[in-house]
Amino acid sequence: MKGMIFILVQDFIKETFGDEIYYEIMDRSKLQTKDPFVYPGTYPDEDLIEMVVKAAEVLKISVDDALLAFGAYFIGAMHPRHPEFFDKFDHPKDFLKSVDGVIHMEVRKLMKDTLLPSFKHHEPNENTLVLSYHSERKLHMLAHGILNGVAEQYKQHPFTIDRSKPYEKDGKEFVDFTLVFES
Amino acid sequence: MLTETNTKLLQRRLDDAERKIRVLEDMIENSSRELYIANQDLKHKNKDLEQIIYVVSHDLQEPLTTLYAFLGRLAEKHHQELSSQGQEYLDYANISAERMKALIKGLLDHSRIGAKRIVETIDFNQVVKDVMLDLDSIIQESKVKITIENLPKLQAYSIESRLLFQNLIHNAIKFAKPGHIPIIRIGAEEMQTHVSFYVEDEGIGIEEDHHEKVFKIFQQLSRKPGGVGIGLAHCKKIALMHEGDLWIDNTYTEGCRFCFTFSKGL
Repeated sequence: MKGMIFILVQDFIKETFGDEIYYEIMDRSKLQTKDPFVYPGTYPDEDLIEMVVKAAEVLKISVDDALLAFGAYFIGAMHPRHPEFFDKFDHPKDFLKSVDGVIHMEVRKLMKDTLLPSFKHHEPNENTLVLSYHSERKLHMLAHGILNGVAEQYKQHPFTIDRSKPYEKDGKEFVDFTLVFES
Repeated sequence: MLTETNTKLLQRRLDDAERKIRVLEDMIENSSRELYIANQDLKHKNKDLEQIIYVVSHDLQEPLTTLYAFLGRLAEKHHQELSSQGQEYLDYANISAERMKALIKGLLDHSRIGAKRIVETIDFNQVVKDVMLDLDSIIQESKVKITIENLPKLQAYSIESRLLFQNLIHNAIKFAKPGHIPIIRIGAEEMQTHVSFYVEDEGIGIEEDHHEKVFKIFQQLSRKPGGVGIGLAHCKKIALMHEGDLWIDNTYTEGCRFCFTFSKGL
């Protein structure tokens, strides 16, 4: 996984809980990476999971809740860094529809060796968007947190999120998120 | 006042920052090394490619000359024996051989651009004057009006610079609006690191969709006689040789404006 994600997890912990908690989590985490994380680096997925698991332990919350909270933070942190992806869409539905075809395509140009989740979409009716998530990383709770973050960024167009039960096939996790927008 | 805990946390932050700097420095060093190796590799491949183009086009000339000679003899000695259809076929064969000759010459010329690079201080006013002398007959014939601003002196490749201006001026005359006297304006502007030249005309112009395509080898937008579509590819190569670039200004609508830059630090 790219260094940016690790750094954002660390920033999230520092900003939300302070340096003392952050260092406690880092001291408890048994990471394969010995050097500090930097943006251009690529690091094992296991290190991210280890940090999240240890953060959940220290903060006495579930790993799912930790992933949800980080997902929402991630979108808030990405907006000022890449306003071009957000500002061209007035509606969260249009933004989310662009994730696979536009945003991830741009990310792949910058980070050739990156492994990105897939968000296929379809619209059963005007107010509903179904996002079908699948990823080898099996981080559907992080995806849910990201959707919460998108809802926060586009407060003027509220929507509800319904998550299907995850299932696994060929080493990938599949989950459908059904988003219903207020008309 | 800083407590002991705060001091320790600050120290850890500082240590983290220093370690990050070291990791990033190593990454920069490794990337620079990889970039240098890739650049060298690219230079070798470019050289190989130029060599292949040269050898292939050079070796193709010989059988073509023989073909050409026999086509000539056939036309000369056996013309009467051929049916009208046979004569027509012979004409087609001759036209194709002529075209192939022009294409091979174009390739050879392209591979030779920059082969013997000599940088010298060039007065571009003189370059344009020389080009106009070379193009005298076409200038007289077309009655073209050429306006030249004061052009700079610059370190550049003399032969190639002349070829670039020659191609652009020749094109501007060739692609004038039918029934109109061609008008050409040539100028330059000094930038911080480069000099930016332009050659603009009031001719038929080039559609924006073709602004990239025209710089590729053997890409012709029209079948005007006397060209194979390599002149602008030569020009692009020459601009790149001068650590600059060549493009068509898409804001200019009176005809066509070619802009090119030459580095001031050659």
